[in-house]
Amino acid sequence: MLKHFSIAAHRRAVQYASLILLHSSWGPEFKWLCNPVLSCHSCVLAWFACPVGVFIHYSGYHLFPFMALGMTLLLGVLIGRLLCGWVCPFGLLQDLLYRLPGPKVELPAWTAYIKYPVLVLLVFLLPFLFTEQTWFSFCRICPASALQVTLPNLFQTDFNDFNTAAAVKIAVLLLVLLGAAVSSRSFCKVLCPIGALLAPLNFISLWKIRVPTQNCVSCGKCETACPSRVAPSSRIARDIPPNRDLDCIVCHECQTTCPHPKPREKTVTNP
Amino acid sequence: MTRTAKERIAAALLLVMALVLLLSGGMRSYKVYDRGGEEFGLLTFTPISDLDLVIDATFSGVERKGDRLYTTYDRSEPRGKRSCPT
Repeated sequence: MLKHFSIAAHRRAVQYASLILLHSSWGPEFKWLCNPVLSCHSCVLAWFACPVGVFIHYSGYHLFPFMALGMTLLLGVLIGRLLCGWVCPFGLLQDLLYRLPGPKVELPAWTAYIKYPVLVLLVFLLPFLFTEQTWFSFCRICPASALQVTLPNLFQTDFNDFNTAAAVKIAVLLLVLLGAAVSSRSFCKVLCPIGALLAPLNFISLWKIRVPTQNCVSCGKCETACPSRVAPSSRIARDIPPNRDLDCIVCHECQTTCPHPKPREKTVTNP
Repeated sequence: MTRTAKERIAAALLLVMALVLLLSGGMRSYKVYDRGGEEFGLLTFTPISDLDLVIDATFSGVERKGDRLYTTYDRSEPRGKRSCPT
């Protein structure tokens, strides 16, 4: 019980620490490093680059993003979508909003595929065709950018800079926040282009959630605990790591909630 | 071949691909032409590494016009904190 609590508490602590650490730059930056979480690199406190913004610009430049893609691929192969569940500040915001009381809904499974055309069109194809400054890029509707950059700028200028672009961004932000309050991790599942990039790597990532199959009693607690609603028990029953799913954010809640997470000790009986 | 073996092979291949991409990026450089920079009828440019281009991409420090990349700021000045207009 204490160990179950500590894993969940650790995740929340890591999320809060990431929120602070990722936005703590007093001047120095490491923006040559793409950190695959949704955090706008235009934030004055940002340390790292957002891969979405970098890919959009490279698409506009008609250049192949060797370093940016290499970094994202490297992290994805090593840990899959672990950063989504443990580090992404926008993921933390969604987790907190979902805890608000109110009606909750489950999105249909097909909505999880919307993020792939979002990635292809708004991150690669349209910036390639219409330059990186195009209105049709993800940066123009990014809710993290709206929260970290657009809103602070508007408050700083007494809303004198409020224009159509800002209005669109804020409208998208409000919809995403509302969605997060009624459906767990809805943005991660439906719209996040970083999630779309990392999702296929969940199937081969070196990081695995281990839940012993032989202990499974089909209690369904992991299903209820999963914030992404990706039915971990179906994979546990087949001795497949539960994080082998496109939308698993590798939060380890299924492992935390499992009443029998440890392999049963073999008992030796005398003949 | 077991599922685990297939996963490991795929992971190893993608890991190699990631390292190749990083190495390739580390060896690449790009010509970024100066704004309005013409000396003796020749356009002046600065070669920048892929890492520097990633940094420039975070604040639209480079723009493409035609087939060339042009800098949008004075590279002789300290870069400082810059925000991306997108």
